[in-house]
Amino acid sequence: MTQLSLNRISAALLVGASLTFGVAAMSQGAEEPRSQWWGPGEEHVIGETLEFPNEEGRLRLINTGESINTAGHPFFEPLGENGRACVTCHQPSDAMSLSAKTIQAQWDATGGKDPLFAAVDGSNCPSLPQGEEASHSLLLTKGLFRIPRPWPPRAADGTVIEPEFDLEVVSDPTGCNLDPEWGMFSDDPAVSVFRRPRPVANMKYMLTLPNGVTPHEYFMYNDKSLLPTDPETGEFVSVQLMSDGRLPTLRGQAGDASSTHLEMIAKLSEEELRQIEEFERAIYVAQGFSNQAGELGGFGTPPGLGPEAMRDGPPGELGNNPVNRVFGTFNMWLNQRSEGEELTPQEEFQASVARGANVFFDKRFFIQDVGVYNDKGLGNPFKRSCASGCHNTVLAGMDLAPGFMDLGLNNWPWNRREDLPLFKATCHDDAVPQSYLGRVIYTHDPGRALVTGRCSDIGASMTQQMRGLAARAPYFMGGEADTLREMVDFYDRRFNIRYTDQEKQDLINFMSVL
Amino acid sequence: MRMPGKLAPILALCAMTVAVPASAQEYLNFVACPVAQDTGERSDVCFFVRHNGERYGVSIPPDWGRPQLGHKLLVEGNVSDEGQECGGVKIEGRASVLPELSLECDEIAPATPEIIALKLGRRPDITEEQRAMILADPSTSLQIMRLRALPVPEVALGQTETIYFPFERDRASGPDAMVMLELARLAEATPGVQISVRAFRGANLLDNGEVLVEREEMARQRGEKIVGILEGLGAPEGSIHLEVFSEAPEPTGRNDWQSRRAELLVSAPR
Repeated sequence: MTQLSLNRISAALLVGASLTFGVAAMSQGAEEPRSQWWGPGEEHVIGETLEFPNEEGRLRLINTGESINTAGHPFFEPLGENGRACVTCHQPSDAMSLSAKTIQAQWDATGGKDPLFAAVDGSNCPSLPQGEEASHSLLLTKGLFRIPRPWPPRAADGTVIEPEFDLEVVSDPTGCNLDPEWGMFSDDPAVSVFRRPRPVANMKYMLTLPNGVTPHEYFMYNDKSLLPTDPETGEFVSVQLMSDGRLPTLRGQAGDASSTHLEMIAKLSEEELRQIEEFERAIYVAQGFSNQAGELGGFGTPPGLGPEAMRDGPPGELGNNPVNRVFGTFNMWLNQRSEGEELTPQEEFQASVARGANVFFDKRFFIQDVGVYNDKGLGNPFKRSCASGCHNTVLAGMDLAPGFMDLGLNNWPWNRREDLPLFKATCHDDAVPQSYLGRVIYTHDPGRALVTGRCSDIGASMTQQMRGLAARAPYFMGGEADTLREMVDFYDRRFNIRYTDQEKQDLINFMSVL
Repeated sequence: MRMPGKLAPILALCAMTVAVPASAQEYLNFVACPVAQDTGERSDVCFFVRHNGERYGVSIPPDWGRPQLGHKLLVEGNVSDEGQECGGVKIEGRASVLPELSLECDEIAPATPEIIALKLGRRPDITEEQRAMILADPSTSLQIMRLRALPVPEVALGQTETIYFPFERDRASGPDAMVMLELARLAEATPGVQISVRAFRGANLLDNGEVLVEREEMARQRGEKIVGILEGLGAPEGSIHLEVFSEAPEPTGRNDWQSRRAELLVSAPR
C-alpha cells in the first residue's frame, strides 16, 4: 500500500469518525472541504457509514453489506483501457454521481490528465485536441458525458429498429455529430448526446416494480405495453435505472459501461458483475446533516430524512396521497414555538424546509403539454403539485409510473441551449406524432426515441430520484440547472406556477436536506 | 332535456349563442375542441365541449384517455338526462383524442363560483384520524397507503372478451389490461390452449356527414400489440392465432366506436 493510499484511508476514516464524535469542523459550512476524490485503484474502507462534507452540510452514505475494502473491488479498479473505474463517475462524496464542482477540481488538480477526461466521452468529441480545456467544456461546466447512440437505433440484440423519424443536425457546437469518424455519417453512425451520470445508490427504489400503479405492476402506465424483462431471469423489471431506459438491470448497465465508459476490451467476469451488483444494491445515500437544520434523521426529525430512511423505507410505492406525501410528514418542524416566541435560526430554517415540503405536495399548477405524460390518459392539462404529479415515488421522488416524459428540457421551445447539438426530427406521415410538438421537432437530445425509434418519444427521459441533491449539481439530464434555484426557476417558468420568492426559497431549503 | 339547477347560470351563458340542444338519449357524433375547466385551487380540471350552442361533459370509461388541449376530440355517445358532467349536459359514451395537433384547441375556462360550488375534481384529503395518527407517531406517515387495486375480471374458456380502442390508438385501458392478464393466466393453465385474436380497423360517420377512417395499419397494430402482451404474460408460444381485419367498415353514425376493437377468445382443445 502506498503512502498516498494510506492517507486516503485516513481521510475516509476521519470523515467516518465525525459521525461518532461530532467533529466541529465538519459542520462549518464556510470552510472549503478538502478534495474527497476517490481515484481508481485507491484503497478505502467502506464500513457501515461514511460522511462527506458539502456546502449544505454532510452527505451520509450507508453500506448495508459487508465492509468493503475498495482495493481489488471491480467497482473501484481501473478495468479498462483508459484508466477509469466505475467510481470515477460515481463518487461517494457526490451521492454516487459526479458534480461539476468535483470535475473542475479534478481538472485543476491533474491538469486535465485524469482518466475522467478520457477522449471517448469525457471530451466534447474524441477528435478534438485533448489537452485543451475547451475540448472538455461540457464536462467541466455542466458535468456532461458524451453518450454516442447508434443511428438508426438498435435493439438489445443488435437488430436495427427502423426509426419513425429522420434526424438532421441543425447545429453541432461540439463537432461530434458531423465528425467523419464519430458522427452520424461515419462508418459506425452515431448520434452524440450529452448526459449527466445518475446516482448509483438507493437502488432498490430504482429496481422494484411499481406497486400500486394501475393497472398492474407488469404494465407501463402510459401505453399499456409490458415492462421489459431481465434477459437473464425472464422476470419483469422496472425501467427507472437509466435516463432513456435502455438497460433495465444493474448487470446490463455495468456491462455496457465497462465497454463504453471504461473502454474495457474483455467482458466483465461473472464474479466482477456479482460484486458490482452486490455493492450497488447495498449503498444508500442522502443528506445526513444540514448546516442550518442540524441532524437529518433520528428522533424528532422528519421520518423521511437521512439515508437510514432510504435503507428502511418501502421501495416501489406511490406516495402521492395526503398521508405519505412522498417524503412523509415535516410537521414537527412547523410551529415549534408558541406565538410571540422567537425562533432560533435553526428552527427558522427547519420551518422553511417544512413549508417547502408543503409547497412540494400541496401547491397545484397546470401541468400542460408534457409529451409522453399528459397524453398518458391523464388529460392536458391536469392540475397537480410537484409531488402528486411527476415526483410521486415514496422517499425517492421520481415518477413511479414509470415516468418517461418530455418536460421541455430536451426539446424546443422550452429549453434552448447554445452549448449542445441541435437536431431537427421530422416524423414520417404514418407515425403517431409527438403529442404537443407534432411532426417537426427541434431537440437537443431525442432521449427515449433513440431507443424506441418512435416519434412520440422524442425528447422524453426518465425522471430522477431526488436524494443527495446538495452533493451533485448540476441538475436535470442535460445539466440545465447549476443550482437548486435554477431548477425551481425552470419549473416556475415552464409551468407558469408563479411561486413567490418565499415559496422558492422554501422549496430550495426542502430539497437541500433530501 | 332536464337541466340540473346548479348549472342554470353556466348553461345560460352558453345559450347566448344560437342553441340547438340535443334531446335526452339522442346519439351525437361530432368533433370539437375540448375546453379545460379549472375547478378551483385544490382540485383537478375537467373537460367539456361546446356543440351547437350546448355545453357537454363527456363521461368515458376509466383510463380510456382524458381530453387534451392541442387536440380535437371525437365525441360519440348518447345524451343523458341524469346528472351533469363538468358543468354541462352529460354524454355517455366515448371520446377520443385525435392524434394530429390542433393548436386552436387551447382554452382553459377559469373557475367560477358556480363551478367551484359543484366540487368537481376533488381528491381525498387527510382524515382527522390519519392526522392524529401521524401527530402521535410521525413515522406512520411512511406507512404505505396504496390505492385500491383494479378489480380482477372474471374470464372463462370459450368466452369472447372485447377490447375497444380510442380512434387511431392501440392503447387499451387499465381494466382491459387486467382482462389480458387474466386471459394469459387462463391460457397458461390450459393444456393445448388455443387463443384467437381478431383485430379490427374502425370508421366513423359524423353527424355532419363526414367520414373518419382510421389508418390502414391500425388493425394490425392493435392485434400485434395484444399478441405481444399475451405472450409476454405467459401465453404458450404458438397458441395464438391472429386475424387482422384491415378493411374499413361501412360506418352507420351510431355506435361506430364499436368498430375499433379487438376480440379475444381463449379455448381448450376439442
